[in-house]
Formats: sequence, C-alpha cells, structure tokens
Amino acid sequence: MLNTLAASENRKAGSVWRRLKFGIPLYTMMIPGFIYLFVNNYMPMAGLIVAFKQYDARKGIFGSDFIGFQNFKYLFATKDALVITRNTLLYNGVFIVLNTVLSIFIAILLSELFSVGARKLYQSVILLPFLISTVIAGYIVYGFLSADSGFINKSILPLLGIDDISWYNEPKYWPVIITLVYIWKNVGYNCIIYLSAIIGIDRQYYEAAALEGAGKVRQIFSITLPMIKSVTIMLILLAIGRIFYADFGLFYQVPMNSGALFPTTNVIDTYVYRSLIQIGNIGMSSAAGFYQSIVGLVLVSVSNLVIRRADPESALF
Amino acid sequence: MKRRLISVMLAAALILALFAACGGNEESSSKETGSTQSSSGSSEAESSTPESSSESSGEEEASGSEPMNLVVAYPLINGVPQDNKLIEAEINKITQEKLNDTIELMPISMGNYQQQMQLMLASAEKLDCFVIRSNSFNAYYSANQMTDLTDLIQEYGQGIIEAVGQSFIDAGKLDGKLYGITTNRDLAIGHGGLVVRQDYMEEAGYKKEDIKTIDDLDGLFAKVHENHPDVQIITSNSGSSIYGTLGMSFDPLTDGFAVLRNFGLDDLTVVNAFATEEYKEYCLHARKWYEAGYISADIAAVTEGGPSQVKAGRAFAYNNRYKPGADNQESKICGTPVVTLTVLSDATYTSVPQSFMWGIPYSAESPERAMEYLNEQYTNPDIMNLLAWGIEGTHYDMTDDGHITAAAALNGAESGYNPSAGWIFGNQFITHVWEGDDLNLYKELKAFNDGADKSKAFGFTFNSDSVLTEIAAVQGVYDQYKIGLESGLVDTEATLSQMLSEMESAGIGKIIEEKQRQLDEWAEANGVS
Repeated sequence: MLNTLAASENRKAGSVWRRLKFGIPLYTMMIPGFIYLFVNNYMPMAGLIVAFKQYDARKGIFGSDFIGFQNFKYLFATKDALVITRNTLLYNGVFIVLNTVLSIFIAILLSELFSVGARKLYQSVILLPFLISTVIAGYIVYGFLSADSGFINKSILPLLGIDDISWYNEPKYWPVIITLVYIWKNVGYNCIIYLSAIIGIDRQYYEAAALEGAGKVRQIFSITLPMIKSVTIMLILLAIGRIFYADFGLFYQVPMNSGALFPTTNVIDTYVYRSLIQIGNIGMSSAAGFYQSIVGLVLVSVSNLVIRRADPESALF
Repeated sequence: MKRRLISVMLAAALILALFAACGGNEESSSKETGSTQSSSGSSEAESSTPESSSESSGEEEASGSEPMNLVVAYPLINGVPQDNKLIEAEINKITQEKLNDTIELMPISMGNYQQQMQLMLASAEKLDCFVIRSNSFNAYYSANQMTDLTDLIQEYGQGIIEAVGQSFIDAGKLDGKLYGITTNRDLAIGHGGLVVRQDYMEEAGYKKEDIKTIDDLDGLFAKVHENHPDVQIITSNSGSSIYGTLGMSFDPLTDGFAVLRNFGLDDLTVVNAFATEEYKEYCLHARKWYEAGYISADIAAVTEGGPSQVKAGRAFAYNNRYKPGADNQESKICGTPVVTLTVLSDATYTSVPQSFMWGIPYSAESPERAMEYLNEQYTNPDIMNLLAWGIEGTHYDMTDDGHITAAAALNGAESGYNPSAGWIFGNQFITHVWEGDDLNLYKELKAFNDGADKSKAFGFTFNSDSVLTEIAAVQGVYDQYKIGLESGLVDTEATLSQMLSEMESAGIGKIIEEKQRQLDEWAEANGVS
C-alpha cells in the first residue's frame, strides 16, 4: 500500500486529488476512531459553558442565565486558595522528579539482572502496590501510624526513646509521608515503561562500548540514558499536563480526611470535593474542572515550547 | 484494484460495526414505541372509548383510565433488597386497581444516593417521586429541579396533610413554596444524647436519672475509666464530631454556622455559632476529657462507627440522638444492653423534618399522578407495610398480640427484604411493630414529636444562593479545626480564636447578615416575633 502510494507520488507529483484518492481507504479506517474521539472527548466540551452559568434544570445547560465568573469565585475566596495551589503544585513537582529518577534507576537495575525469572519476580513485587486500592493503602499507613496501636508508636519510637507522636494531628510530617506513599505506589508502574525502553536498546552498543573499555556507569550515562531520553521527556510532559490534578485518594484516604492535616494535605481536588459535597452546585464543580484543565493546557504548551527550543526532536508537538 | 476494494470494504465494515454497537439500544427502543404507536393507532381506528375519554377528562382528573408507570427513588442503607421485585409486584396489584398506576421501586444505596440523584436529574431520566435530603434541598432549589407542590398537595394530597400535620409539612417550604413533604417518623431530636453501656454504668454506681447535665458526665467517666482503663470512654459515632449531637444546643438554620441560640426558643437573633459561650464551654469540656485520657488521639482518623466499637469492647459510650425506642434499637446493634443519656432537652427545628422529604422532580411526566400516588403511599397501611416490612407470610408473620416477627417460612434464614427503614417511606405510624418493641411505640413517637420544644423559626429555610462562596469557605475552615477542637485534641483558647478569625475573613459575617435579613422577612410574612 505504502509502496504504491510512494510510487504514485513520484509519477504524478503535485496532484493532491490523486493522493487523496489513494488515501481514501486509510482515511475511512480513521473514521470510527475519530467519531469515538469526537463524541466522547470533544462534544462534552460544549458543556463546559455551564461553568459560567446559573444552572437551571428547566432551562437546560444552554438556556441558563449567564453569570460570568461568579462560579469561580469560591476557588479564590480564602487564603486556602494559596495553600491548595501551593500544595498541589509542590507535591506534583516533587512527585514528577522523584518518580522519574527512581523509576529509571530501578529500571536500569532490573535490566542488568541476568536471570529473567528474578527480573519478573522483582518487577511484580515492585508493581504490586500500584494495584492496591488507595483505601487499603490508607489503612496500611494507619497500621503504622495509629496513636494507640500503630507499629511506629508502639514498636519503633520506644526503641529510640522518643515519645509517642500523634501522627494524624501533626501536619508537619505529612509532606514526607504522602511522598513516600506515592513513590511506594507508583514507582513500579513507570518503571515498566522505562524497562521496556531500555530492553529495546540494541545490545551491540554496549558490546562496542565494553570493547572500548567503558565501565558499567559510563555505559549507563553514555548509552542508556540518551537512548531513553524521548520516552522520559514524553512521560514528564504528560505528567506536567496533569500537574494541577492531584491524586484524590492519596490526599483524601491516606490522611483519613483528618482536618488537622489540611495545611499540608489539602489539594485542589480535595478542597473542591469538600466544599461541593456540602453545596452540590453543578456550575461551581464545572468551574473547578475548567480551571484545572486551562492551567494544565497552559503548562503543557509552555513546557513543550521550552523543550522544542532546546531539542526539537523530543517535543511532543 | 482488488486489494483496494477489500480495504474499503473492511473500513466500511468497521464503521458499520461501530454504529451497530452504538445504536443498538436506540433501534430496539424505537421499534417498541413504533409498535405501541401502531397499536394505539389501531385502537383509535376502532374508536375505543378509553382513549377518547382519557383525553377529555385528563385535565381535570389526574388518575385517568390511561395507565401510567411511575418511578419512585429513595435511599436505603444497604442498597437494593433481594426481593425488591416481589414487593413491587404486590404494590402494583393495589395501585393498578386504585390509580391505574404501575410503580417501579428504585432503592439506591445511601452512600451513592446524592450523586446518582444529581445525575438522574441532570439527564432528565424517567423519575416521578424521589426522596430529598436536607443537604441537597438548596442545590435542587437553586437548579430549579423540584416541582412546586403548594397547590398539588391541596388538591391531591389531603391524606398526607392529615397524616403528617400541617405544621411539619410547612418545614418543606422554601421562599414560601412547598417543595418537599417530610415523612412521619421521629420529627424531633433528644439533644445531648450519649449512648452508654448499661453494665459499666451500673458497675460505676450510676443510674440513668443521675445524669442531667454535661457536668454530671465527669463523675461517671472518671469511675468507668478507673474500672476499665483500657476502654476508650467516649468515641465518635461514624467519624463525625461528638459535638454535633452531644453539645449542640442551637437551631442550626440549615448550615449550622449562623444559628439561633437555645434551639431558637427565645428570639430570632442570628449569631455566629462558634463565638457563643455554649460552644466554648463544650470545647473546654472535651479538652478536659481528652487530657484525662477519655478520648483517643486517633479520633480524627477513626471512621468506624460507635456501635461496632462498643460491640468489640473497645469503647464505653458514643454520641447519638435520642428518640423513643432508641435504647432498644442501639442495644441490638451494640450486642449488649445500652441506654441513652440526654443532657439537653428535646427540641425540633426546620432541618429535622427536612432531613428526609418526598418530592416530585421537574422532569416528572405528570406531577398530579405522582402526588396521587404519594397520597396513597402515605395513607394506605398495606402499601406502607409492604415497603417497610415486606410480604406477610414471606418476610414476616403476625404474632397473637399484634406484633410481627420473622416469618416461619424463612426457617431462620436471612429475609430477602429487610430495609430496616420504615421511617423513609412516608408514614411509619401506620406500620406494624416488630416484636420486642412496645406496641405503643408509634404513639410514643408521635407524643415525642408533638411534645418537643419548637424553634420560633420552624418552617424557615435559608436560601443560600447568594452566599454559596462564603459557605464553602467557612466550611473549609470549620473542617480543618472541628475534630481537633470538639474532641479536645488541641488547646481550646488558642485554636478557637484562630478559627474564629479565619472564619471572619472567610465571610461568616456575610452569611449571618443575609440569613438575618431572610429570617426577618419570613417572620414578618408569617407573623412570628
């Protein structure tokens, strides 16, 4: 198919219609996917307009009264606005850096294992936390941190001669706890993607490097890392696009929704959930989603622009 | 050429498959309507009487000869009971004959109810009667999703008015119009309720009558703590703050931030709940209990209910509302005899009857028919007993003295219909009484409702539309501090003043001002002072 297409292009260069005609079957095959994408991802976007409206069921989404940015006001009404934006951005920033570095590190370790069986075993063990529901993860954490019967308060701290800590009332420890739980849960998943990229690298590079006298570390820095650069950048870009969305379960279930911890565990998603569970206003919930997507879009575009300046090959678009 | 033909055909097949998958439902449903149309067409051709008569009389009389299917949605703690369809069929026998209606029962598990209702209303799904909960009342109103029942109930719901009483019906009004009808159940609250283990209390040498105020609890707690140092003295019921049911002495006026003191019995001055003496005093009490070791430091993280902690022998008491029959009910869940102590008075205010109301959504096909059905549900003991207890002989049997008990036919197996929610269906007072409860239970409950002190603002509902932003912000502040303050985990003075200043900047003043304005208007319109 491609051969004929290329050949015809050579023969009758410039004839756009000819090229289109040959492409028709290919384009036709695209239609189902396109329709799906349109119906599922683009058509609902029209509904975003409800974020600017005083929703009235009898008038419908499009007939409701327009009220401008009224629905967005509650997002910025208090000092919480600053706290939740800061928490969301900082946590996700830290997650992106740590998760990328650790995933690549573990992927490289795994790829260096000789025994395929051992590699599969380690990989499964590392992936397992990813498959555990956050609610259960929350209770595992509770098993460690409970004030009355927790493992840390009852077994570890007495050994060190430290007094009990009331974990669920002390916000200052939670940036570390949340980050640890996140890494524990997510590293395995990203690691698989990097591992498959590393396995795809031609072994000949390493053999040549070894012949030239390059050690393991040299090989990793000069061959492995440059070869998985585009995968890394792509994953980071995708993560940046979601930097304004927090993992709801992680910030709601793991701290057990404890109010005292809000200064360090309240993020946009939990804030919106808590205020709207009380109010249940459709316009205001849409406003929160709208705000998150706009910031996400801006961040992805900007970081893509930066990357295109630095290295056009790796940019997403 | 041949290859191109094949690829075009393949692509076409793909698209067709996609459409077939998407349109499958639509096609079959359109076929159905087609067939009903054709059948109605043929009946018209025969000029049959029911068709024409229903058309002419449809305007004046709601329950015509035209059959109608009504979807009735309500929350149940355990979701859909196994024998739901059997109950539905039995109810239909009654309603088909009386109203020419068929009923489709749609129980939804309590946890999902709010969300699922929001989706059903937003997509205008078929729905004719539904239960409105107080926390959604304002949202439905703001989105105009409920039907105004003011005239409908006069015309088709006289039985409901008689059963529930005009005064409790008025609690479903917003801006002067009726949108929700409360159900006959406990419509007042025994405030300051604390459920305690009877054996531990007696061991400590106390009787129920000894406890009259919150101060009396100190001695009891100290004694029980001495006897059982490993048992947590007081725990919160299902993760909520203990304060809400044990310490609160306001008419919360929906949100609980801008309130009337002393259950609204004295005057109509709206105040900041957290700046009152009562609130601070309660917090100091909780602080004292926490420091004495009566409250666990984990209380903020525990989501287990009070009864299961008592059952496991880990707790002595938990907060709960009191109503007649409560001791029996709680003892059953706790697996050990418990009694409810009350340290405040019995009172009622608008939000109590509002917590479960029946309403008709804006999308209802015929609000008149829906109201007629609701009237039947509230007044017909057969329907009420079917909904509350199931089918006689299958799910329950009558005993000789007029109680009901588990059906002999079950042979001790689990009943397929046990919603344990007779209070949600409209009129619990006309249902049977389960063995073990007093036969006069519902008479007592009615006396309790009528005897409780009633807030002066009873019947007033705050329309929060103009201060939604402030309510969300104040809620955020409150959520952060409430468990710490109200369970005594933190220093009361410092934290309370911190919370108050944050609430001030979150706009609690604006909520109070707006509420006072609406309340004054309401008072003038209703002649209350």
